Amino acid sequence: MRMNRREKGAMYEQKSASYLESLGYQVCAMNYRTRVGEIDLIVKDKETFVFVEVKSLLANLDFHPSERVDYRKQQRIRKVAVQYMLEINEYEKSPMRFDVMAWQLLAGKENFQHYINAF
Amino acid sequence: MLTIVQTCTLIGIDGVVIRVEVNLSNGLPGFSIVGLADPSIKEAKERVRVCIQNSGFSFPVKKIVVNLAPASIKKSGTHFDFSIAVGILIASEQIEKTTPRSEAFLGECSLNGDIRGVIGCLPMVLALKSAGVKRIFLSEENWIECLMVKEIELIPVKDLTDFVACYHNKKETEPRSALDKVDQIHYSVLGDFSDIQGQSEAVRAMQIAAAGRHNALMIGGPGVGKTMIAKRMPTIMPLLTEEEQIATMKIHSVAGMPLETIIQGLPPVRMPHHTITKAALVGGGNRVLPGEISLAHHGILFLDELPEFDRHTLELLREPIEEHRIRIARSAHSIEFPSDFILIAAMNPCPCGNYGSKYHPCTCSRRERKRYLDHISGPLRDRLDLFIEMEEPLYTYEPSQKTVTSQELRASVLLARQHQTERYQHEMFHSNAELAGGELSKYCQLSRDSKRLLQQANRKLRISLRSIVRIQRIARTIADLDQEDQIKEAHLLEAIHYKQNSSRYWGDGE
Repeated sequence: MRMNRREKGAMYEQKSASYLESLGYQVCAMNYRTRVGEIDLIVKDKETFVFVEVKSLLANLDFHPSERVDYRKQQRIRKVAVQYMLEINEYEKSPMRFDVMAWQLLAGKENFQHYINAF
Repeated sequence: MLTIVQTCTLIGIDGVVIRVEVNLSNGLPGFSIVGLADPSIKEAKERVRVCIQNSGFSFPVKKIVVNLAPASIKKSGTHFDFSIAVGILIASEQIEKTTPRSEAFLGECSLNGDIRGVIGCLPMVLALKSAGVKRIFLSEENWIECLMVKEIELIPVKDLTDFVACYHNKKETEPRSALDKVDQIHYSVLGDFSDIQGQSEAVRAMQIAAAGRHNALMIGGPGVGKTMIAKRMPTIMPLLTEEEQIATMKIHSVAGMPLETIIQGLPPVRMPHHTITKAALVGGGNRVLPGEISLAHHGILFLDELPEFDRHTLELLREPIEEHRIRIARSAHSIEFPSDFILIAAMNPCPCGNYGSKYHPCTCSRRERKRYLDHISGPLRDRLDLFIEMEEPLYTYEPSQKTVTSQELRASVLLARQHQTERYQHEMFHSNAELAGGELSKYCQLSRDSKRLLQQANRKLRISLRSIVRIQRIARTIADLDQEDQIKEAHLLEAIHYKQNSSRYWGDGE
């Protein structure tokens, strides 16, 4: 089964969404896109809006999220998150959080790590 | 959710109460500190975050804004960490709010959750106390330095977890008997005047200096014991009173100096090296800190190798010697530090050090000696009361003269000081060194014979009128040491002798 990068990315975003749903989170949006940038996954953990960046196929899962999602990327995600919150009229009303989901394929087996409140 | 807690900041050596307002709100998670905070406070963000997390609490994922009010005062220092951490814990409802108005927090957060000591804790505690604060939480090391402050509950905390237990009164706070922790004074560590071979004249002069708070200059070749004598000065001075202790400790606390000896009541001795800069001597710097003259407050400033000091640096001493304080003015503000010290200086008689020695020839030319002596200006010399010439003592395998011990000297100094305190109880000053003008003639009444003696000194020895005033002050102290109310001729003669040593070198007809 061969996939291009985008398809692979989409697959892991889907898998992340299913995992988070299994935790009881509610999926609000996927691939939310504005002129500034894109957020892979937006879910809701009770009142808190969680903005998830999905990182797929990494060599190593033992890293600090800020190593993989650099400052510029973080700032972009934060900006898009504010735009989203303004759009649904929830900005400064509901708490916000930023998570990272990291995926790895090792010996044909998929591993993942969920970094809560990554940045 | 808004929470307000209290802490303090320093302006000079005085504290100003600061309100730390912590607000948590929804919105983009972040942490910002406002209120004219300098980089040391901005860095608190990282320390506070990790400290809270590593103490088993959670750092709220909220938009956190901390305001340090009044926001118009520039603030610096790491002691804000603790209050910011407490504010965040209360605002995020992880600990209960108690009585914010009557509490304050002073400490630096470390990454493992410990609360560390901070610089300048004592003046801040005093300021908070006068602002009506009842309970102060601080680190254990700061607690010991602040034990002298009465009528306020000081609670030492080890780390943030320990603090929460104390805060909710789950843990008994230690009784304040911990003053016992401060040991008895070990005078033996400081040495004793009986260690000094010979030099009875210098020892006597030091006794007079300590008794009347006079400034003294020792002139002598290398190895005659000038430094040795100066180092032993605290052993013959009376212990600091509580008021003096707090005044001195405030300065040392702000400068981040150890306080043990002052807590024991010993007057400070400062011995700056002759390469000292102006700012280090009188105080200054970007963040204005007290200099050596203030660190020597209520104690002794010993300047070894006086002519080696930068001339302009030495001249800065003039005003503080007279005023007992120094005002450091900047365009934005000015800060005053007290600096009431006894100046003890030492110097060689000439560049090679052997001038006047019976045993070694001096290799200096007259001009070289003059140049050397001219480093000490007339006005500065004028502020020195006692000039002592010291000769090289000879080694004897059986000291014939019984040397006087520090304890004996201290006892006589104490009596002389008591005399002065009683005599000057209705005056603005309290030592003979401060006698001037009308007070001088009031307290230094002389007999006819004594007056004639001074007249002779003036005419025959060419001692200036200004020096005669100095002579009377010293004679007053010598009389106090002898427990005499009336200054006798013998007292005057001894005093003239100390001043005459000066004209021997500088030949001043001033």
